[in-house]
Amino acid sequence: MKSTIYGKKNSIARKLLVAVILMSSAMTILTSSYQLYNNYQRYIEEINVRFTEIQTIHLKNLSDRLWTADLQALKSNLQEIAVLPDIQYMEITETNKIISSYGSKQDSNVLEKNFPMTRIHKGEEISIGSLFVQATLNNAYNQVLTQVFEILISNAIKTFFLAGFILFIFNYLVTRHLQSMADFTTQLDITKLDSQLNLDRKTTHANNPDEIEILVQAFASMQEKLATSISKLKERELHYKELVETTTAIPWEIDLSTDLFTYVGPQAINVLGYPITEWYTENFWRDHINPIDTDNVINLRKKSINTRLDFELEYRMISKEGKTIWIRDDVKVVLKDDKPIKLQGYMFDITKRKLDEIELNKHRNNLENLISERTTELIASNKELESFAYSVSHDLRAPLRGIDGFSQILLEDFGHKLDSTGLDYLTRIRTAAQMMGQIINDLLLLSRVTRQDIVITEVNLSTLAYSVLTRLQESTERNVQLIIEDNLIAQADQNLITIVFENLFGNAWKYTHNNDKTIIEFSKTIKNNKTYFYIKDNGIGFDMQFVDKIFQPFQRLHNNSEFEGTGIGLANVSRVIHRHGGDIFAESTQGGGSTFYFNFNS
Amino acid sequence: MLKLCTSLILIFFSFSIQAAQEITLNTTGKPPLNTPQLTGFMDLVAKEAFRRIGYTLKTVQLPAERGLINVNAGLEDGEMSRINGLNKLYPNLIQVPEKIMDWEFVAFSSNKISLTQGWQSLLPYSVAFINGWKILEKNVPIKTDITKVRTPEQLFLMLSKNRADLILYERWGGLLYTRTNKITAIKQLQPPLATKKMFIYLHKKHTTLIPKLASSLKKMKLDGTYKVYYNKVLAPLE
Repeated sequence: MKSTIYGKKNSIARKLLVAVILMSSAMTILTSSYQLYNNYQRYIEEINVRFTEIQTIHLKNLSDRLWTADLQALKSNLQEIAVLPDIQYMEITETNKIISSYGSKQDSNVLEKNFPMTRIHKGEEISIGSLFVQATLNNAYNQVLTQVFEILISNAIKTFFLAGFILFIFNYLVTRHLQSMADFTTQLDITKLDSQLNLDRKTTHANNPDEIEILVQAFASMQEKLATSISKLKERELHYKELVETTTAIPWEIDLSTDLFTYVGPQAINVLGYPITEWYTENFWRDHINPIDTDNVINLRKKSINTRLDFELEYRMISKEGKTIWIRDDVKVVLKDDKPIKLQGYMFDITKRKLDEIELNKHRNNLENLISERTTELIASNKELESFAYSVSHDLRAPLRGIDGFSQILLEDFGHKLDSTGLDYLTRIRTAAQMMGQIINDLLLLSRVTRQDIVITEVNLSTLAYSVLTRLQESTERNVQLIIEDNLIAQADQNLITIVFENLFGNAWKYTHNNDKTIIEFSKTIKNNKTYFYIKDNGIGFDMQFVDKIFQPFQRLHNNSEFEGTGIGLANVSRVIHRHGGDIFAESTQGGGSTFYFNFNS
Repeated sequence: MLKLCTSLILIFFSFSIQAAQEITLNTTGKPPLNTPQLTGFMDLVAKEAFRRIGYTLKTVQLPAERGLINVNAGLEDGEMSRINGLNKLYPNLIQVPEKIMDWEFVAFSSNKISLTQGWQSLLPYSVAFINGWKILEKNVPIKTDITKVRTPEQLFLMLSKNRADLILYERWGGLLYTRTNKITAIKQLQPPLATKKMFIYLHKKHTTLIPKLASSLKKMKLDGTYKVYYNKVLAPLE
């Protein structure tokens, strides 16, 4: 049903009408006020002109009359003056006494003027009295009021016709077409966008269309774009629907105002067996949660809605066949104006994974128990072994000291009775005993290194390196160039690091003793994105194919005759570094020296 | 019947004769010379003079100029008191040769001012007199500070407000005013500035009355009637 624009309270035409009336009235009031003010001022000016006229024309005459005490003539003259418009009252005063007056005095709405009356007498101008004239402003006000009334009436008539004319023209040119467009748009079916908007008007020149024509063209263009967009949207909707509904996850949406599903993906049929229509019924979801999980699920859901936070939950549902189906629900809380209005999410069937997890947990528990048992056994065995090794090593030292001690006594007390072969044998016994003692000491050290508690402090490695190398320098006078970077700091156990430095710097010292010029360097560098300290020498080096062996106990790459050693030192170093959670490795070339890299992650 | 008609005609004529004996004079004078009740000095003299020649006097008060014009046109019968020689200006007027009285034009003032130099004595003073009084307008020196007014009351008010040093007026009128208003500070100055003989003028239609009236006036002065009226009206004001 078409409605006319005149009947609409909020129509543009009505607004335009109101605006025109208001503007017209405002302008009229403004201009009229100015005009009325001017008229009023002109009226006042006219009264002032009359005052001037009285002063220039009548005052002399009146003064003459007053001078000659001609009261009758004064009265008569005042009567003549009173004929002037607006002159309401006059009085002539002589020495504060009213000599003559005419008219009736008015209390308000008046303009008054006093004219002094003088006379030249004996060559001097003397004051003989005054003329008081009062002019009424009633006529001015009446005139202004009449003008106001006339202006209001004429403006009302003018505004009425002007507004009516504008309303008619505006309706004819604009609003009826807007109404047609509104009607067309209201009736426009989004699925049938091929209908055309036709307006009841002459078509303007194609090259110079007016605003309505441009609007119609824009409307047609928009209609076309809308049709294209809708088509694309439909395609995309279909595409997304296919995408969503071909996944194994069940998409769903709940309207929180009704607590009913507004959408459930068809995958739900495959997972739980119920027809989709049942999902849309009241309390369907709640009623099909495994009662064991119901309270937890509902509470978590409530909490998440209250906190407006998305959530995940795993729970069991009962399928149509009565089976327990494990569901993982990823839920998003949809807000509008900061209030939760919807829940959207995906349900995943995790029954198989859940059963696998249960099975895996069962095995893991068994394995953990087994490992725990074995570890306990191993710890006990290890302790026993360490205890055994310690006691063996410790116990071996006493007879060894006996062998070495008595061999020394024998050599000192009875050496003169032995020949050179006997002396050689006796010396060899002593050397072997001392060597064994050293081995036992190293083994005890290894055992101690393994068992000792680590006390981490801040250690100045540069200072420690100087200390160790100074001791070495003191023991053997050699030409050695030391390059040590200052203030290299690490968090480590001071005693254990001392063992590391004594071994590594000792090796560097040892394997360079044949050099004419020895260079030992201690600094830090980056290797494989990690910071490493390194100790570098220019000694004999070693073949890198044996690099894996050097940190194993009793593994030696050189003869004892060439370089003394027990083969336990680097094993101790490796063990200390590893106990600090650090890492150690070596790089070397035969004859080109060796570099040992290490760090402490403790 | 004839007797009745004759009687009616006689009665009619006798009334007509009676009406023709009334005469109307215009007067510009003020008390004590003229009053509307004809009790002024000149009223009494003129009334008696006309009575003696068989006329009853009536007076009208008109402005000076208007009175002359009217009489000249025959609207009134005559003027009661005018100066000598007016018939030259108004040819229809005929002067009664016997004067009715002398008018003295005097000065009044609250100051003692000497007028021995006549009109020239006025020169240093501010002078006021009634507008239209020809003799004054003609004789007061032009350089005198003159104020002309409309009424004798104005003259005396000006004098009392010190707006004029002296005022010029007819002697008897001035005296009557000071007496009536009990003004003692204002005195008539001596001597009079001018004395004018005043005459009755009649329209020429009354030419025949001129000698009778002149004779009548002369007789009144001789038989003491004139003196009686003077003593009655004017003498108390001296």
